[in-house]
Amino acid sequence: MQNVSAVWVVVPAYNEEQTIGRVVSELRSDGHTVVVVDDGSRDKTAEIARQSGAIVLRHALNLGQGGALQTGIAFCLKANARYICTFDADGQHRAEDVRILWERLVSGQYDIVLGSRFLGQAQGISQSRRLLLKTAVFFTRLHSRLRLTDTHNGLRLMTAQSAARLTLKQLGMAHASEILDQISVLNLKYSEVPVTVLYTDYSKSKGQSALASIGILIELTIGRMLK
Amino acid sequence: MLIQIVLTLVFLSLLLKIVQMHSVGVSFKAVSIILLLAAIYVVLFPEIINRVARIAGVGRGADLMFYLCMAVGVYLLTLLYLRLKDTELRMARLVQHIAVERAIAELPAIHDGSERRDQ
Repeated sequence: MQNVSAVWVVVPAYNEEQTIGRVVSELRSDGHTVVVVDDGSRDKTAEIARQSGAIVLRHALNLGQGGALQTGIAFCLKANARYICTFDADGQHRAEDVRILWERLVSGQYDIVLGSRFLGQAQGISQSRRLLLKTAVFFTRLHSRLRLTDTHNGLRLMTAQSAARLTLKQLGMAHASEILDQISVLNLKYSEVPVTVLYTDYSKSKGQSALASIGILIELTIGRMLK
Repeated sequence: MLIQIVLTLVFLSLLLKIVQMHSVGVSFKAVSIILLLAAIYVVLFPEIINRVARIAGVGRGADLMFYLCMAVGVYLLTLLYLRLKDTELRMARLVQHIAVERAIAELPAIHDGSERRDQ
């Protein structure tokens, strides 16, 4: 009988020494194999992650979150993982939500399940951040025609088969929309699950600024034109 | 005129360089030589540009050159941008490949992924 420990969790991390230890420990105590992709950090992220029990992959250069996710997913596939979860390193996700995603994935035989803070809870979110994310949801819905409530949540769970079918090229933050595009193009069976996102001063400081979203939009547009 | 002599010398030296180059393809060489010869011709007989401009419906030859330069400039910039993006992606794939291969090599044994790996 399979259980939730069959889920491998990919955590892309760039200079996250403050939070990575706790994130990895919590995931490990739930029995997950944790794959931290150190995206060229200059601090002790890799060391702390390894001490906390993660398998650590290191990028020689900083590529961006999208690039780190691709590396982590590629590794999981090569190591024959069955379920692959993506999880942010800044401590904004709760480890116990992985189980909730997994139960939905298995019981509904979905290809991929996505966490939604707007179905669940977004603790400590500011009004401006809520507005920004809702705008992103609106535009993503227009483009990908997926009926989603939260398009930029780092917590996702997919089967290895679906992960193998994704072609991801966006190295930066535009990967979130790219994954949704792929769900739409490949016609994957998807579902959204309520999760809790904790906004701490730390996660806010590590998050994307509103201004950066314009850059992401440009990246995404060029990426779509070049397809 | 001085400018004609200077430009002709510049184009001629470029021509010589390209003819001597071994590392470039034949088609690149041919196109470059034709363009440089045309440039030298235009420098020596600038009236030709005015005539071409009138045929194209542009007032002066200098204006036509300006428009052409703009078009070529944008084209080259786009090409360069695409090349840069491609190089960036190739570099990323290399970095990713190294990271994955190293980690796979460090794994103690191949396992089926259904169980958690012991430390």
